[in-house]
Amino acid sequence: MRSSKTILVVDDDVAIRRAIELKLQTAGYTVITAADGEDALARMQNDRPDAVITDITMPKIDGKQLCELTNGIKLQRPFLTIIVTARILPDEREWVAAMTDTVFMEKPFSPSRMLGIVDRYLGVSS
Amino acid sequence: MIDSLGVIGKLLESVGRIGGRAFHVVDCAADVSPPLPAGLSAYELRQVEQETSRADGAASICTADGNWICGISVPSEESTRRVIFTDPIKGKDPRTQRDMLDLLGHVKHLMAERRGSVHESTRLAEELGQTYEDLYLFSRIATQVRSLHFSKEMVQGLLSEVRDAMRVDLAAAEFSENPEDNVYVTSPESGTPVPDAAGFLTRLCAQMQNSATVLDGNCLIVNTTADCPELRGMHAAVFRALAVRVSNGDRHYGWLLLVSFNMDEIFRRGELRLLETMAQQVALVLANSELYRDLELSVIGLVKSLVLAIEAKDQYTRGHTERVSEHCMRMADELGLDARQRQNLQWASVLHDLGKIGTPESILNKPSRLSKAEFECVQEHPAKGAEILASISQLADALPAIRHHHEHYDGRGYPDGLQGEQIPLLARVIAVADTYDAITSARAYREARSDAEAMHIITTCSGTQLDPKLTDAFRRTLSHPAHAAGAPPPRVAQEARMEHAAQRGPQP
Repeated sequence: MRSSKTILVVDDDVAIRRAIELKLQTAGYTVITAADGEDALARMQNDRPDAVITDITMPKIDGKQLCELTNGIKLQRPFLTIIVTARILPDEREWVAAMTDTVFMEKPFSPSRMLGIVDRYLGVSS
Repeated sequence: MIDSLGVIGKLLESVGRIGGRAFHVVDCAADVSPPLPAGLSAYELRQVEQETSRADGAASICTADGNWICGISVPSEESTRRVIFTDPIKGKDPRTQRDMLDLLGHVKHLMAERRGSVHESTRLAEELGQTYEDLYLFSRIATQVRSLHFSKEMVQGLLSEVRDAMRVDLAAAEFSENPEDNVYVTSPESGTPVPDAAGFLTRLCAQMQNSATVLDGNCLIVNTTADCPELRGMHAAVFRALAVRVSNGDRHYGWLLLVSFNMDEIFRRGELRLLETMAQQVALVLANSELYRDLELSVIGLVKSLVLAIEAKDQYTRGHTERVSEHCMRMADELGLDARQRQNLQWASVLHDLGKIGTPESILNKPSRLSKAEFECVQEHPAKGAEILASISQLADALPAIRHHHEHYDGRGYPDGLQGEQIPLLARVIAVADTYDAITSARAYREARSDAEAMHIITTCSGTQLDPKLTDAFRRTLSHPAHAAGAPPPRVAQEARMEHAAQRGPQP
């Protein structure tokens, strides 16, 4: 069930990217990764992931821009976006709330909880 | 591996092009015959496989027609062995043979290294993931113990958090001295149900307490009961357990205990440390609650002495304070007062006549009507009572109700002539109860009146002396079956309730 679902993990920190990738891979998901927003955008268009987990602070296109650029796609093809961030700016909750199928995870985040959120969204029982 | 094979495959392809040779990659599963490259027999392939698997580096094999093949065996992620080898090479030039063995030997070495580093990076990523779990857990737990006062709800919240974060089937707090405080939470989606969780936990704690061998000082970490004879028999299924003593100095309170039947995971050192931190917090909260209880008990003792002091002086107040307090608490129920207000009302109603300590006995017990001066003297008691108690900070919130319990709703009472809602609510409540009890008890100067008569008088005072809303509320309490059924509860009940209130401690 999980193997038929693709998750895109976007983070410019290779260690965090790998940690999230491993958690999801071990659970059985197909995981693709991107190191910046531009790369992520290309992968979202080509690989049509079922969920995207992204950092906010990234080179080229940041997490917020990425969400804004892809929010339109969700009208035809909804997918989950999890935004992971260490700092929460006052306006961040607002713009995240305005996005379709988008949730916040504060750092320090729990990879297990992240997996749980993805599972629930995709209707996979853990 | 696939990645590295891709890169190395390209490398070999390039090398092969320079040297005019082709390389083959074949997966040799025990029960599958791999497709054979052209010009190579199955027998020869098996030979290549055997020779290369024996060699540390590369190996070379002579074919039937006098050519030779050079190859290496490399481990692969799947359970098959992967063999990389050359086409059969003509001629026995020892130098070419040595160069080829070196080349493939280096390739094998490279792949092993690459494999090692992939494993290392996976291990690091796993570790980082676990560190994130720990950090998250710490950040959640740090905010859990907000209250300095012990409550089962607090412990339950804490345990639920730990159960979710550490993915255990059972999280429990066992308090040997106060088993009524024991709390446990089970996992809702647990695969292994625990039929008699409470009994299992009690047995487990008893076993831990009695056997020094499973305990490492103040904690226990058993990652499989299969290896632990002392815990093996505690449950039909194999489980792992993590426990930490809740103690403060020499004082042992109990245990925090986690049990999981998922044997794919283990309890880590970081989780133990976290549980230790939690146990310390719980111990501090417990110690704090004990101190608070001591303090409260001493205040209760003090109040009891004070009540006895008034009663020794004025025979007619004997039992009066207790009955007024009873009436007040029934009204508190009727009015839906919160816990804090109830407690203040309880203190104030018990102590409302304390100021009479300063009134001469000759006046208090005088059978005839009081003179103006004598009456003025009696009127001093609400203010005096509040003054006497002013230094006991725990009673500070009850003092206004004591000071103003003789104010009249129409402003014609004493000591301050407050009016209507200016009079503190609790003081108005006491006024109703006090008036009713004064009428229904015998006094030095008159007989006791009946309940019906008293209620009639109360009604006539409603709006002048007493708050009409509260006299209505009082009437409703009298018609309740609980009150109509029997006599006022005995004194013991009163004391028990006071102590109960104290144990609940300060409100947040």
